[in-house]
Amino acid sequence: MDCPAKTPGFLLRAAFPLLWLLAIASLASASASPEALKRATAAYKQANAAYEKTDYAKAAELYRNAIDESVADPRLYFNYGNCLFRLNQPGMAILYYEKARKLDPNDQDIAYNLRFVNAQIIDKNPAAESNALTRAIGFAHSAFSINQGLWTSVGLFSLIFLAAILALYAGAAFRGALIAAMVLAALALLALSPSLYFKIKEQESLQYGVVLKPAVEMFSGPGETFQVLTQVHEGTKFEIVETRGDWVSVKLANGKGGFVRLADLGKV
Amino acid sequence: MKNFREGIGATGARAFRFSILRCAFCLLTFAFSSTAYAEVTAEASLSSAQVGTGEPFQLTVQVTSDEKVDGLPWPQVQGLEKFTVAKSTGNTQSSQTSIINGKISSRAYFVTNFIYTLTAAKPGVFQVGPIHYAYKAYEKDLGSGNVTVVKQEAGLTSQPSLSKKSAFVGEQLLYNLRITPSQGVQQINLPPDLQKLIGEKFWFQRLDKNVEAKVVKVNGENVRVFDVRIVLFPLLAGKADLAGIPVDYQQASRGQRRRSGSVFDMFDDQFFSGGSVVNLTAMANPISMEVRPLPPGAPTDFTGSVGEYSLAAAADKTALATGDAMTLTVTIRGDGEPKTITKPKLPDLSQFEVFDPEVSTATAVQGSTLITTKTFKYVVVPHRKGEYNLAPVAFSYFDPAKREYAEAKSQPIAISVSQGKEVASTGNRIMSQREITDIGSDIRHIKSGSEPLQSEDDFLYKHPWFWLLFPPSPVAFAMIFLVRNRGRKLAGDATLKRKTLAGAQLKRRLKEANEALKQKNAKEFYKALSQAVVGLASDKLNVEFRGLTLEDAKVQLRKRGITEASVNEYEKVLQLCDFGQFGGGARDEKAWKESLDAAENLLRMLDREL
Repeated sequence: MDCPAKTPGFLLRAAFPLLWLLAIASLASASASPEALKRATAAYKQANAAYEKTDYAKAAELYRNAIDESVADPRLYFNYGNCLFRLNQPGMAILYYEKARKLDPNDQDIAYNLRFVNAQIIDKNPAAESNALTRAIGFAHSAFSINQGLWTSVGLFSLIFLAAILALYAGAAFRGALIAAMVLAALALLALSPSLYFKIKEQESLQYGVVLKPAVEMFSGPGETFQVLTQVHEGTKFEIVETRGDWVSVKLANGKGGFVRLADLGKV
Repeated sequence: MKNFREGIGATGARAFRFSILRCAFCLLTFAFSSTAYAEVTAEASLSSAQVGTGEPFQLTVQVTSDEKVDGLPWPQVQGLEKFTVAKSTGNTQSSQTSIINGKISSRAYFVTNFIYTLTAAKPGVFQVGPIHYAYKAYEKDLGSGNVTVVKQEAGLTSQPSLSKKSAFVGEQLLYNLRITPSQGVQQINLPPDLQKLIGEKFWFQRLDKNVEAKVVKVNGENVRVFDVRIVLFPLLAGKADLAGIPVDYQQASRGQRRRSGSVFDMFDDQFFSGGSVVNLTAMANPISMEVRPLPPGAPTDFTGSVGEYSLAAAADKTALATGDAMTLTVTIRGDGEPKTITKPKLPDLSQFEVFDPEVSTATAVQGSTLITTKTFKYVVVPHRKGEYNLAPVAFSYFDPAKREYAEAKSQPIAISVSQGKEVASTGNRIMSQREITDIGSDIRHIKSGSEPLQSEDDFLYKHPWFWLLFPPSPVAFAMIFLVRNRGRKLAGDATLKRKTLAGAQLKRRLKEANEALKQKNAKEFYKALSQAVVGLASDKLNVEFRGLTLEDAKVQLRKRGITEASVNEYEKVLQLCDFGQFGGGARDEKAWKESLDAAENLLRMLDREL
């Protein structure tokens, strides 16, 4: 028997919570295994204790064990970076500070130590040209992590439609406020989206490396037969353009580039 | 020549005067106006009577007519075989208005220029012509002229030189690019990005902002040259190659005069006019040199300064009280790379508070050497009274002449410090407030929170389910919006509402019929069935069928376009229902099922047709 449909409400009631639950369940199941986290946390705490006693070699070994559990926590990378700095390995220290900053771009301690160690190395990393506007954009861009941005975008997106739904039934007194909320949320989302896009693009396509040896020659091609362009020193950060066998094409912040051996770099 | 001058027309005369005034050398100019054919005149002119080899000049035959003529023939010109020839034409139009006895008349002229651009490869005196022009009845010899071609050397030479072929890392060198232009050269430009050409193995600086001409003797002759002086500081040890520097310039033919926009401020006093300009490039030869590394044994405070340095230190006060400030000025001067001059090594100033210095840098050119002077001004405040003899301030550098590390030192400075008033009068009171200053610096301490670690490199966007968080809210909005609109529409239209809800009503009545069937209640079953059929027809057609006789109901159905088959089925089902309710109809389940099937079949038919 064909009957006229009377089901939008039913669909709404059934599909909406289901989709949300599935999404949340998926996210929950994506995190690292609890056992690995437990082992890593234990090693991390022991390492912190060793560091407090200035036993940096032991602390470094324990931090390394925690990292080997495939746990990527900015605190772990930061503390390991400190340990490496104490052990007079500034290149490695910068590498792990960079890893920590990638996960938590807001952390002031990470930013400070990175600046501090960068000031100790031989090469001054050439900075790209900037002005007040580009610096402000850069500051806003680095003020949140990818996941924070993604959660915020979901929230703003949902807020827009929630306000729209409420505006359908709200009285004239509240409708204006709801529309204003919608517009603000839409503007915030509009401002957030390009930054998120570039962050994800950077995460997926850009890779950085740090020189780990005291001095490394940069060649004009992928081999020692090419001309030596310059010499870079431990701790210098590059953008990795591409990898060709044992050689990596790299680019400095000021646009200058060349080839260095893959073994001489640590990838952030 | 006389005959030619007599034949010069108005336009030709203007051209000739123009030529005289601008060029200062006379061209041969011929012109004839025709009397046989008044509508057409022709005249010929040369842009230059003396040119250099390879320098282009022009022969122009100008044909003027009082009406527009398409397809004018080219003139016949002899003597062009010694030249490279390029031909072109150009057309212009002009008009002349005159008032005679109060009458205004206007006449238009059409001018066609036949232009021969000629270039001679060899020097000599060459005749251009005779030139003959013929068009219909008009025919004239325009004469001939001589052009003197002189040998012309290449426009510009550039010769690089280096003050030393071997130097230490960081030692100052002079690279001199001597540019010797010949006549007709203008607008010399060096490449804008010298750093690329000089390479990354050198730090460099131009010594002169503007390059001025100077006269030097070459093979006993005075020659005007331009020296581009660049100081270089090698950065890396080993063989260093300085690439050839291209020098762009413009070579003007005689007669062209242009103002220069280059750093070579030399062309205003030259005399060129007319002619054309060619862009050319002269390439200086590359130079190789050997850069030696600095020897081992550098002092701990050595910061890479290589050259000859001097240091001077002075205090603005030599007698002061505790708490008072004096300024210690240290000046380091030398010919090494400017950036390598860093803070000097100060003597023991433990009895003084020393603030970060104010630093200023200045560079100057002395002869062919770049001299850097860096000044450090320290504010120094003594804590305790006493007589102090400050040891010399020192700065370490490498002396390439002596091939050894050296130290530039100042003279010792004697300072007399007396007891300040504040301390004497206030006992243990703090002398004066001051800024909190860093004594040392270190990295920030490790993070030691007790919260367990988390894996934070698991990015949400990599999970497909994350993206499913987005669609629910717009879908919910769309559905709620549709439901709301539908509700509003139904509320305002009773007919539509009845029609829209007909399905739900039908469903309810059929449910009641099924319930009655289950309870084997024939009367209720047929009643529900009858109500379902009549109700659907009433709701869909918005006509009350209840209370109508069967015949009236059939009439209404036919009026609404219901097919005869459906009308007959309607009659059949209602008769079955009436019979079942009131006439003691079939009591067995099979008959009821058949009635139900018949009713459902009818309802489907009505639903389709309504």
